[in-house]
Amino acid sequence: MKLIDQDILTQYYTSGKEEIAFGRLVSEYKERVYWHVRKMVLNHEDANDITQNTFIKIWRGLPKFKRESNLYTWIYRIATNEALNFIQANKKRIAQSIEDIQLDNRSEESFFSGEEIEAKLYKAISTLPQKQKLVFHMKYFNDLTYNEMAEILGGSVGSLKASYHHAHKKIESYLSNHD
Amino acid sequence: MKPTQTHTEDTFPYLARLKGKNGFSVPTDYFDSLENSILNKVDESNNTKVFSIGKVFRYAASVAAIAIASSIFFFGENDQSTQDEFDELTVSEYFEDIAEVDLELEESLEFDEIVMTTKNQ
Repeated sequence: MKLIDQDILTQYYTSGKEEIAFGRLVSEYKERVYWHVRKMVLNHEDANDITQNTFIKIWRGLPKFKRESNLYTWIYRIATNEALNFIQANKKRIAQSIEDIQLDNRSEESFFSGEEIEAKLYKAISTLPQKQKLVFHMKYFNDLTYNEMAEILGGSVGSLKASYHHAHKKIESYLSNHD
Repeated sequence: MKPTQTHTEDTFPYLARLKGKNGFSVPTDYFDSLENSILNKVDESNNTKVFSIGKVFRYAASVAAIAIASSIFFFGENDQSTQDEFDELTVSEYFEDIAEVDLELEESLEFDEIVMTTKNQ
């Protein structure tokens, strides 16, 4: 476990200053959680809501957190679950968000100013099966190791590597065909 | 043998070019306000008296069960066995319903994990 995580957890469980420890946790992880979720749901307002819900769940779950697992991967798992539940319940909205970041539909509210090819990347990701999509997100955008991903998503390192390889190939193929 | 980076750029030129780019942005000072929003919500949830709907129903069910048992005891014993079976069935079903409503966070998280695992298969 990372030193900062150990420090936060020690403060949370032993000093009686739970809220201060949680404040440090939020400060440490807010941007990573937000960007992880944002790349999954694309829309800023949705990502904002999901990120806040994630931290509320973390706060409520901390008393029961089993310290044998990594704080980092536990946080990621909660954020991923929150985003997946949102995506499952709002498929049309996600499709709209993908359209919104395409050049023609872009507005100030979309908070996207990337190149056209980058917008196509998100369109390509949306065509992947759910598992490949998640694996691709975690590896390509967040640089998680396969062991960390296995801890978050379950499954073997070998199958995660295979999923990433397939996802990589499909996306590259999509981008080269739509350039 | 070529270095991995070159191999990646050769084989996956688009993804190699896009790696590390982030065309998304956030409103000014967003992350400061995000932190404040989260901590305020935590404060609010700490100050809100949370009570379990399940517990309230459980007390109500206990009172109802006592009332039913008393009325049977005082007002006759006709078809007693059928009446007892009916009461037991109703109350046990009722408790099952309450148990479902009274999900704790841990169970909720476990449920989330199941959902995620299912989606990944």
